[in-house]
Amino acid sequence: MKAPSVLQDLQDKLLLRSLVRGDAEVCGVLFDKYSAKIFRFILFKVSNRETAEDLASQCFLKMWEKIKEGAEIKNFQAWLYRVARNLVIDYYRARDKEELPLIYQLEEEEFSALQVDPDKAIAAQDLQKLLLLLSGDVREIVILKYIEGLSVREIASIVEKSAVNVRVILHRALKELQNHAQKKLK
Amino acid sequence: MSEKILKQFKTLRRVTPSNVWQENTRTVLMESVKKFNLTNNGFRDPQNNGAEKWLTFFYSLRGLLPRPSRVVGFAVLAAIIGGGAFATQASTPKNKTFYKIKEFYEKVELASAGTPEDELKVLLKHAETRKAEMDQLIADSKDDNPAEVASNIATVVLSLQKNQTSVGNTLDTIEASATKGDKSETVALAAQTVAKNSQQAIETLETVKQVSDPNLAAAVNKATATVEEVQDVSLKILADNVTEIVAASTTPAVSPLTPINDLQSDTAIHPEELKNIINKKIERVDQKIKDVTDKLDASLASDNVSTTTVQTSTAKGLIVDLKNTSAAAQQKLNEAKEDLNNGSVVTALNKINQTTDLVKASVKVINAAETASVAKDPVKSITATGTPTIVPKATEEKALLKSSVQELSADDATTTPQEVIDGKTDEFGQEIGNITDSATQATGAIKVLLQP
Repeated sequence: MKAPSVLQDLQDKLLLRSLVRGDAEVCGVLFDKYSAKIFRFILFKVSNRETAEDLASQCFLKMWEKIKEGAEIKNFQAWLYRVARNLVIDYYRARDKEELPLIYQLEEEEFSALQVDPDKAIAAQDLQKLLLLLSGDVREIVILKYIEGLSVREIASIVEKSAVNVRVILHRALKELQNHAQKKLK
Repeated sequence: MSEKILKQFKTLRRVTPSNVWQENTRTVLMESVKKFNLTNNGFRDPQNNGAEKWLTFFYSLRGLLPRPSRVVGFAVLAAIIGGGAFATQASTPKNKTFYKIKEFYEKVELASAGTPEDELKVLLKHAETRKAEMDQLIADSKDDNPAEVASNIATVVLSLQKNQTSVGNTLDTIEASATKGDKSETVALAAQTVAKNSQQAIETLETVKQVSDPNLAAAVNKATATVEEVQDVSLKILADNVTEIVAASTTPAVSPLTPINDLQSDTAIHPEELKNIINKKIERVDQKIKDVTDKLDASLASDNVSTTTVQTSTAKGLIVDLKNTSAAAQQKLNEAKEDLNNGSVVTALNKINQTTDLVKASVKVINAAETASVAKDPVKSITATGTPTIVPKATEEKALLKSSVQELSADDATTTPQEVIDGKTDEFGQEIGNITDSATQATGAIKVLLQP
């Protein structure tokens, strides 16, 4: 399973090299490659499409700003996710001063309407609500692991935690989901 | 149980951002990069040579690969490059898998170009490949399904269009970097090569027109317009840089062609070849002027214009002005032909460039008027809602342009053509800009007025 990741890194390095020389087309290629991933990552953290699009735009503009400034990038994908993650953190910090983050407002009412049967296909909306029930640090790791299919090592580099720590959090995610499902079944 | 739920999270990959957002953000992002390139000339480090860059690049890969897979990774890379080289020689879009490998290989090749000059060479090589692919697809077209042939050719045409956009951008970058040092020869060489390459591209696109398909025709027209833009840019750059070399030369009384002769190398084109390119350009501009004149004659003869209202008489005045402008453009083009025959390539190039600008401005006004005409009699719409200032403004600007053209012709008698052209270039540019703004403004206003 290593080869695709290594090739992807290699391809990113080549694209990044062209971008560093100012190739606008390459910037478009990188955007096409990562825009949906970054958008989803932000969307499942802020649970609002407009905000997600706004923050994702900021993320890509910031990417270009940093590259212009000569940022040293070892793993482009991990680095881009980190930029997105920091923007979400800043967004919640600014939001905290105004009102509570959306996730805390949703929890009770959304859960009461949730239908979860693990043996059947769960609707996308319900899956998103389930995601919102997970705590912030657990949720982002679940997004990266189970939606985007990243390896534990890649996730560790994005969330700036050790691989062991990421595995522990994933285990906790399993437990949290089990608790929520049991509550519902009761 | 929760593991089953976790597995279902994969379905959320279907959640994607809106196309509008993607398109807008992509455009803004690419514009930022282009803008930065124009103002800062990218990030190139002239001290860093190609070999050094490759070493740095491969050294940077060292950290990327975990030790056991390093050898495997490079073997895969070598296989891709080897396979890409094979695919590059053999494939057309008929074989989709090989074509994808070919595209990837070309991207790698482009990324490995160390300087803008190298990048231009690679891009021009890719343009040659696209032309060969088109020839191949047309040659094979008898045996294949027509819809499939059109679709495959359209893929190559689109690829050529993108390639030519990159060629134009790279040429701009090369020229921008020349202002920092004395690199006029390099710029002139690059511009000549691009002019030659774009001429071949235009001719190949002409041959593609024999495959009749409405979607393909639209793609070919769009690509031809892009290639012509690139050729215009290259001819302008060529004119500027060859003049600069003449000015810097210590040899007295050199003919404008001499610097081009001096620039001969394996990659440079022969002066006769340059003359041929310019002659073909003259033919195309000539045809465009004829098209514009025909359209204007048709408009004057049509019933819409001959009806007697204040607005239509203004429109008629506009058409007459545009016809005069076309006549002036035709005259300038004839002069360019003479200059070219007398060996004054630079003077001819300058005149052709100005003629092209005039024709473009006229076509833009006509297109805006045609769009307006399709959108249910714009003149009436404008008058009915009480915004009649747009058309007179355009007329005023066209009158300015006309007088400027006349002035230019009059000045030619007392001063050298080059001096007159130099003196008038800025004025022309500003007036053409004003006309374009007016056309855009008129089209915008009409769109707003016609909204429910």
